[in-house]
Amino acid sequence: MRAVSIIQGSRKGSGVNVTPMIDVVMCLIVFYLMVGQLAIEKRAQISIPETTTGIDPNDTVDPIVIGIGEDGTIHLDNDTIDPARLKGELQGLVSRSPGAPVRVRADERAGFGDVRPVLDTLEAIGVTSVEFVTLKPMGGG
Amino acid sequence: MKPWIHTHEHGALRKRSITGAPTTSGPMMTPMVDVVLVILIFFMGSATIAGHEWFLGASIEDNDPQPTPAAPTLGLPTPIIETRVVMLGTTPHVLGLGPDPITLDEARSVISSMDMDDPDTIVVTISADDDAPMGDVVDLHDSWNALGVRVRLE
Repeated sequence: MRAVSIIQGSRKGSGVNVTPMIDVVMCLIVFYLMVGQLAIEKRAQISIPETTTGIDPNDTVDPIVIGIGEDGTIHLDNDTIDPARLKGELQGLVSRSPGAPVRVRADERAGFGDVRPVLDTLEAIGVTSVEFVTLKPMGGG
Repeated sequence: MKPWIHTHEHGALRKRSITGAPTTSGPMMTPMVDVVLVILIFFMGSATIAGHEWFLGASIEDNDPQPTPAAPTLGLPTPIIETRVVMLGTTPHVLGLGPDPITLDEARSVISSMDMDDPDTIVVTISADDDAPMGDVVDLHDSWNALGVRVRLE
């Protein structure tokens, strides 16, 4: 408890203590900077093509996302996966989330020969349709 | 605790220090709040731009496509247009839209000039060479999608 003389009036430093607020704001800024940086790094691995048409995601179930990099590397849930293990992993995911949309994030520089084995695997485990993730044109859509 | 008295000025109850010290002592919050709001709006805007993704749907079934409700009444098989992206040298071309391979730009204009009464009763298949870039395959897919036909990848 601070003792303040009535005669002396207000003392220096009175008013709103902004230190905790600055702390919180700084934490928020650092958090957003880090998340933004991580998101940019993750997206930079795969350059998806831009299309003039498409369907906006409206997911009630979390989609199964398969990434295919420029060099043909396959990513499942952001982890690189050995193609030999792809069928087993996908089977597990599809059986755990029946009805979940299967979304393919294929790099626009990847060859179709890198994508076809993934589509064949999906077809082999009973998936009948896929969704290719693309970018909306800037300022449109 | 700071000593305060209440006085009535202009009909309103106001708080005032006994010694007459100004009640607005302390740092000015307004500029800081302004800066924080600008930063928040910037990050929200960045997140929105980064999230501009959508998708193109495609069938991957190897079986013959199921006829749409309109087709069985006519007793006709579902029309299928087969297209293929091939690499001639280093340039992608499209087969299936004429007697000769045509470039992607030509394919785009040919597809957009097509007039279809019931595009959703038509199935288009897209296949491609192994070295055909996925961006060009998706480009062809996009052109067909704009027409409203169903697309199957092979």
